[in-house]
Amino acid sequence: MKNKIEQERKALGLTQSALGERLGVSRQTIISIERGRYNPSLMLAFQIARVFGCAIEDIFLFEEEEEST
Amino acid sequence: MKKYKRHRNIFLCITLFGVLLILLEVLIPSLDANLSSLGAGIFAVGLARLLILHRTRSSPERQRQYEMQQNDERLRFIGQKAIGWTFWISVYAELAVGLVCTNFPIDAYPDLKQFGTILCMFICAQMLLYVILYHVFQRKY
Repeated sequence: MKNKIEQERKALGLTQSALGERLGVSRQTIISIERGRYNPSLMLAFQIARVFGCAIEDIFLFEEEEEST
Repeated sequence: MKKYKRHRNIFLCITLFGVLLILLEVLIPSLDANLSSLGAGIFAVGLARLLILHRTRSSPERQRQYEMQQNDERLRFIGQKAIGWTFWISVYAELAVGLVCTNFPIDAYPDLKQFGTILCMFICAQMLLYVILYHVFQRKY
């Protein structure tokens, strides 16, 4: 799933490690989420949105093609 | 901290189980079951994990990293995916071995057919367990 985590993270001046520490996950997990290789759970998605101070839909981009897969 | 204590207790049990197996073979030589080698391996694994765990506790930063790794959902996802794939690959491999042993007996190994039959029955039991657990989890979730 495409997302804007990298942009939001850089806007806040956070490194991947720092974001991972805030969320209680490893840096590798942040990398995988940013690259769209791993979709976070609903809980983690909410926590990410809360860190950036915006709604989940603003961070994660749901596209029509993904619905068919 | 909770996970650390739980893991410590698990690895302690594993280590002690290894020691128990070694002692069994020492105290009952008539067993002749190679328990000491199995016990030595289990003891080594348990001890190594205990030492690693002790090392992580030596610094708060390492302990925090350890707890984070244990709670990381992506690593749990990867572990569950690996377990799932391992199960299915094992089942198909066992089935292949079982069918070959049952249908292509070798004179030099007269028990091969029986071994193949038992293996196929074991696979049936595995699949039955899978179906039962699937229905149990379907009701629960």
